Amino acid sequence: MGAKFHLAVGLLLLGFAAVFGYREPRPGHVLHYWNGFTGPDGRTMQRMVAAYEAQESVAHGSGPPPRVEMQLILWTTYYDKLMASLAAGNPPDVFVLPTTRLADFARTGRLMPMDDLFAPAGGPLRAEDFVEPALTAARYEGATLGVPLDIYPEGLYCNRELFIEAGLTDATGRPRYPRTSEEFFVAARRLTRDTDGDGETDQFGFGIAWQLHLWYTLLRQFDGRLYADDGRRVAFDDEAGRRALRLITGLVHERGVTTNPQNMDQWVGFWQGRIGMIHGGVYMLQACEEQEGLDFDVTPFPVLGDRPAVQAGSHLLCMPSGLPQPRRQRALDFIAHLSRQSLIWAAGGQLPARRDLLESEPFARLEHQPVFARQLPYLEFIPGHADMAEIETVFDDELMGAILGIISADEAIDRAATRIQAILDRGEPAA
Amino acid sequence: MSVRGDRFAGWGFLTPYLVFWGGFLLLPILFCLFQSVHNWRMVTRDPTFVGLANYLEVLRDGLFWRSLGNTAWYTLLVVPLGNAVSLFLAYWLTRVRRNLVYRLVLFLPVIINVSIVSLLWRWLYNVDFGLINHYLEAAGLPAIAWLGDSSLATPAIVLTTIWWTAGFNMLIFYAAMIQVPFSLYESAWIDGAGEWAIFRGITLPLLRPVLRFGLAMSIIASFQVFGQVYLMTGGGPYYSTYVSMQHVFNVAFSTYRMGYAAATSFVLFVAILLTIGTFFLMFRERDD
Repeated sequence: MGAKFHLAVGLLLLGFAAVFGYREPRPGHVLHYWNGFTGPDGRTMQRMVAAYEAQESVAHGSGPPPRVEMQLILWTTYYDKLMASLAAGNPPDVFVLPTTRLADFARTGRLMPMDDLFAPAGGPLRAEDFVEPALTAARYEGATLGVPLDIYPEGLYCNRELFIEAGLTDATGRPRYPRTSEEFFVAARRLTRDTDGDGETDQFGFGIAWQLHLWYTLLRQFDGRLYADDGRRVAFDDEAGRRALRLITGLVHERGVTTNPQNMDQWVGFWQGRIGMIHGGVYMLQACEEQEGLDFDVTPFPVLGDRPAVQAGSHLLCMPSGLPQPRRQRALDFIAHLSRQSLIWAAGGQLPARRDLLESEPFARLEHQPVFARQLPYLEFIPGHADMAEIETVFDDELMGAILGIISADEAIDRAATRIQAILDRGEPAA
Repeated sequence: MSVRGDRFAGWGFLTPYLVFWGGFLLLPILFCLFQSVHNWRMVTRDPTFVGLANYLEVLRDGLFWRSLGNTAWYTLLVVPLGNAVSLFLAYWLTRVRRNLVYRLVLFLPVIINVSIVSLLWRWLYNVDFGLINHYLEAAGLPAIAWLGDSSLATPAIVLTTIWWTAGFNMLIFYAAMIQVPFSLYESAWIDGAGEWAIFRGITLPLLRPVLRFGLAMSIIASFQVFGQVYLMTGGGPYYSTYVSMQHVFNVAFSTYRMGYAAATSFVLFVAILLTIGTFFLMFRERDD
């Protein structure tokens, strides 16, 4: 056997050792932080992180300050990566979860209870400072598994120019936005126009941005519920659920004030002035503000059902269980910092989850966020479930089937009910 | 070198491949088989043995059958059309002298990443800004929601796939065509055969093994279609482009039901095996 052969085998083994033996260095002062804020909100979060690093740099004097390594991951792949990292035992120190997905991750048993962060346990935060529904949504089986960073309720985005053009104004000539179902339908009809006279509608009154959020808002306005009290049976296949969906499909197929969402990107349509009103979360504010030439306003979502209600959610700052000290303490400090600074986050297009910040002067001075905050008394969080991703997909698909006219509203509700009941039957009840 | 030394060297050369084959193919397949008879949710609890329950659930899952039907429809469209385009392009190349630039241009899409291809075609198909609708409207025709219409979405994805992949089989067919002995064409010309008769009587029969390979690979690739569908339509509108691999992906990574996803994969594997088996039976060589 020649020396060359031995050399080749040796090099091969060295290659294997290099590939499999390499471990990324994780110095103790780096804090790993993952979230899905890949839009304009990511830039706001970057500023908050930079502020934390600057503050810690001063506090540490000559010692090495904690450095935050933030990973922005698209929400579509974020959950898979996070779940895989938890499974592999190598999760980030701090990560963001929307309230709807908390149960999904909580059942892994790998989220750290955060009750230590609150005052009764000696922590720097006070539970009474937080908006109740957000803090409630952060709890799972009695433990607080996340600190609410924000609240994102739906609202109605309106194009000011189109409202004025359509004569939807008050006595002073300022646009008058709908608050009731009658006003909403009138506005939607008058905003729907054939602007170039070719016989085809090219401007629509209302846009459907996310069918599940719109339907859930209406479901709650009609006093319907997703699940029965025990969380083991679906309850949305009653008249409330059907009325809510019929109202939406009626906008497309009977009233003709909404275009088929598959034919037009609804937000792009709104930004281009081809859609007069669109429902959307407060997080769309920054994207709207960045559209050149778009003159828009926001207003609380009108009451189209029997009572006011609006879908909302909250981003939670979470930690994995089993973090060793001092990483654990650094992560807790970082979360407390982000929570205290969440007014900066709100300015980027969110509502803070803390009452002290919501009632503060700087928040009141923001242009649009206080309008969303007027809906705080009737926020409706979608109940979480361990299989929420699957449930969301079923809802989105079946509701869209009805909106596209492929199946009727009643068929969509029946199919969604059958499929989601099968999911509930498989295991855990809704939270 | 002695026989023993030869054997040692042989294993030495084979070892790197066997390590990767075992580590990245055989072990995952065996692990997948293990998962398929267990109820396992990745991080939640230890796997519990459920026997064939996952397989029975797959067979009762309406969405799985719908995805399989959509995959079969996609395969029926893309395999014959794609290979016909590849064959036509390969034949055309044989008629062009100094065709290096043409070969390069036609093969170029093959090396583009699936996400780029999908984004590119999503923009081309866009109802509002898409180039295709721009020309349709310029010609006085109405804009079409290519990806938003449940009857057009699959053909639109098929067109994208053919544009993207036809160059690969084209190159294989071209390489086979230029190997056909020139004397055969010469005798046919002398006998007065036309171009079509020569293609049908000489080129095609001699390409048969290569065509069979190309078709078989296309069928396998079509059954495994995922990227462009996921990125262009996400399976919509209303499941009209929802394919089997997306179903497996959704089950695995939205619900984290790894056992059920593994069972779905194995049922899909059997479906591909049966299809390929049937294909080889139908197109077997006469002397096989």
